Amino acid sequence: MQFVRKINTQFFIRLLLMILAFIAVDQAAGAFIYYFFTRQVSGEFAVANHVVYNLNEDVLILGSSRASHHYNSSHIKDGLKLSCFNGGRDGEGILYSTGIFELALQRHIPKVVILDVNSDVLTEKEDEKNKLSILLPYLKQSDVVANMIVKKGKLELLKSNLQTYRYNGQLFSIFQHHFLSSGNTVMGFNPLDNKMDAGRSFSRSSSLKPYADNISADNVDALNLFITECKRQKIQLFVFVSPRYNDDTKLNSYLKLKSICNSNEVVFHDFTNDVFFKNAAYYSDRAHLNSRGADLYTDTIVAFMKKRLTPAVNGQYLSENETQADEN
Amino acid sequence: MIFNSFTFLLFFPIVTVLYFLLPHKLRWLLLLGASCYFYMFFKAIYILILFFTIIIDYTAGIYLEKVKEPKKKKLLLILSLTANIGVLAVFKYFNFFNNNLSGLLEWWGYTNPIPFLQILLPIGLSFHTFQAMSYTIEVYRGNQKAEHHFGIYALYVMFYPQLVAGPIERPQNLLPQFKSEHRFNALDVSEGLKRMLIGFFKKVVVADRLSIYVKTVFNNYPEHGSVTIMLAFLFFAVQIYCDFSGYSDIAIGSARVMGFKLMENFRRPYFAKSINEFWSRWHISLSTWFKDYVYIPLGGSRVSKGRLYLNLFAVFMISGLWHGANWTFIVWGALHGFYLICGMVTQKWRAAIANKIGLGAGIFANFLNISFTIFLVTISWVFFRAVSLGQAWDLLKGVFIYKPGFFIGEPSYFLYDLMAIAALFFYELKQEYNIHSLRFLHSERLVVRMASYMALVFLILLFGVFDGGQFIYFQF
Repeated sequence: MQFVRKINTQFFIRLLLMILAFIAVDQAAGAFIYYFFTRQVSGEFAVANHVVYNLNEDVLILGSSRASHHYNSSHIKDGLKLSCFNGGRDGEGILYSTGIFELALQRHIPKVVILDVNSDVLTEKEDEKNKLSILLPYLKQSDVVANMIVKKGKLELLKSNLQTYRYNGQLFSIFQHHFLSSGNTVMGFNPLDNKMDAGRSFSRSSSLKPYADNISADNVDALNLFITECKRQKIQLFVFVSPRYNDDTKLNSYLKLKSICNSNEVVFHDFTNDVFFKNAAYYSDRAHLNSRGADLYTDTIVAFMKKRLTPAVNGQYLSENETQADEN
Repeated sequence: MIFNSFTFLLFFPIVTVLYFLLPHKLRWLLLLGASCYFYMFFKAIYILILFFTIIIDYTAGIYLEKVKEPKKKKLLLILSLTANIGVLAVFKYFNFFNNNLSGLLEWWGYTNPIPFLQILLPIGLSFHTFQAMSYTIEVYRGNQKAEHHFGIYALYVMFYPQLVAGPIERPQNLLPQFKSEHRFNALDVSEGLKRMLIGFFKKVVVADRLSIYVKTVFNNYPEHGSVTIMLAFLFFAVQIYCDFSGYSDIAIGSARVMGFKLMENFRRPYFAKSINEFWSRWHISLSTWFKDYVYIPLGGSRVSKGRLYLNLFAVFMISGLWHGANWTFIVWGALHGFYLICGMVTQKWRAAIANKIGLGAGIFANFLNISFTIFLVTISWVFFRAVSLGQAWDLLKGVFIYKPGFFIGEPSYFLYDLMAIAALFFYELKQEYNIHSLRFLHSERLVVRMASYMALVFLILLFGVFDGGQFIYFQF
């Protein structure tokens, strides 16, 4: 009996020691990974890190892969005479955009923000909240990130106390993008060089089936927060739905998006049905423009924006243009 | 509640601590309450279905013990089994059979007047139904006394570690364990936690990681090359093994922490040298259930060869149908029955040929046998994973009619996949061949053991998929 008691006491001491060792190793490993995380030279986190830690550009572009691949930052810079950075990220929606935008505002206020959205931006999607995990490394930067993370699950903040959990699934990618530069991102713009396979470019209208979508209250809140922050910081916001090869179904989400933009007097434009862009040669796949299409599209939105820039921003644009004209 | 959720990581220690704090006579109440809570996380109302079968089987058990007349006993057994199978038939198979009837009637030019049921399949229904059935059968056979304590009987059916995906326990093993007092035992706790850790690793690091690749390929198979599809097949074979055996490890481990010893469900099935051996290593609690309650009552091996093959084929077809109400599962079961019969028919001349060419025994012969078994099992998994027979056929065509192209997906994820498989292979190889070096989790040195536990936890935290969702076998 005494032997059993001794074994049990020993077990609890060892368990306690292990828990303490675990906490120490977790903290150390978290700090070690964070060092490499913030020093990535390429990849999607390098883009996000620029937005969070180093943003100093006048124009910030946010959105999903369609933002990342469709807006050539150099063309915007040359066209508007405003520095520009593209912070779009593959597979992400409005929740991520709002989170990363809030993080960016902690240290820099851009003059103009372009938010590229899909027509289903406000549709309830099963996995959208799960994708918020990628904001975990920035948790200590802002309370807004914590509020976003909570949307994923009530216990998510508790889990994120584990430093290593914050980098779940990212370790190799972090080291890869720290030691090896890969990809051809220019000021966040990530052009797609391929052309859509003619054999696979099926009928435009067959690609999306209409369905009655449910609106996500969290996504609506995130969009409203995004717009409110722009108003509060006097940032001119443009909301665009960029071109796609297939016809886009107008969902409830789209109608809600339009009504939110209208009621907040936000410039909103939908390019999905622009006939000029219904050309397979401009596409990498059904939903993404290739680099040629992206350049043409960026030039289109530059012309569109020039006419609509507020006097404060436009003043800078005009004065810089005039200076350049004088120099010429 | 699912094991791979953070909620379970809170639920489990709370229940375990309370279990050891409470006096023995109240523990059944805690476990029953905890099991109800665990089950009601899925769809609370469905607990009524469970209690319906529990009441019927509990009552049937008591009367089966009381009644001495064989005919009446048989009638009671039939009533109890009909109630259990009836629940399965309504919730699991009704729409499947109705759908087939619709197809048949349509072919003859009629419309099916029977409406489809708009119901969800209660989680783990096939598991706890089979466990409940084994109780009444054993009481009927006189191998088990009827349980008079309703709470203990309810706990036998609902014990949370194995409630939704087994192992399908037998009353002789589980019921007495609820009655004996389990004192806190550091060895049980340590072994149980180790087992749970391995289960979590299998589920979140191996199975759910591989499922990303598998899902990507299976959902868009016409776009992929033959090598990619073949790789997805192999990944699925590993995924389903780790998903299910991971669940069993967590179930066995979490029960062990409280001093309960559940039956083993897996014994490294991909090291089996034949299909026959595979089934003695895969989902052991189900295969022994079918052996004890279907195969042996049909005559077992003491019948003519023709009848034996017919019985085996029927058992595997039923096993397929047990897994799911879809023709894909029936074909999967039939395929295994076919493999087994072919193996038996050709056993003698295969052995003769192998001996003639010097491949009767030895490492290379074992390697060939294991590889061929894996190949056969992997092919059968295609039917298990596909949503329809048509899709399964297309997938198989995708492999056997060569198409170039190789898809990796996200390179870091692909690397995780390969590393996870390598880690699993290393672990299973050591176990299979009793390799005593590099014991890590079972090292005699405390530091090595502790470091191994921590390494496993960090591997789970860094490489696990935490949004992977439910276990595949929950749907059965």
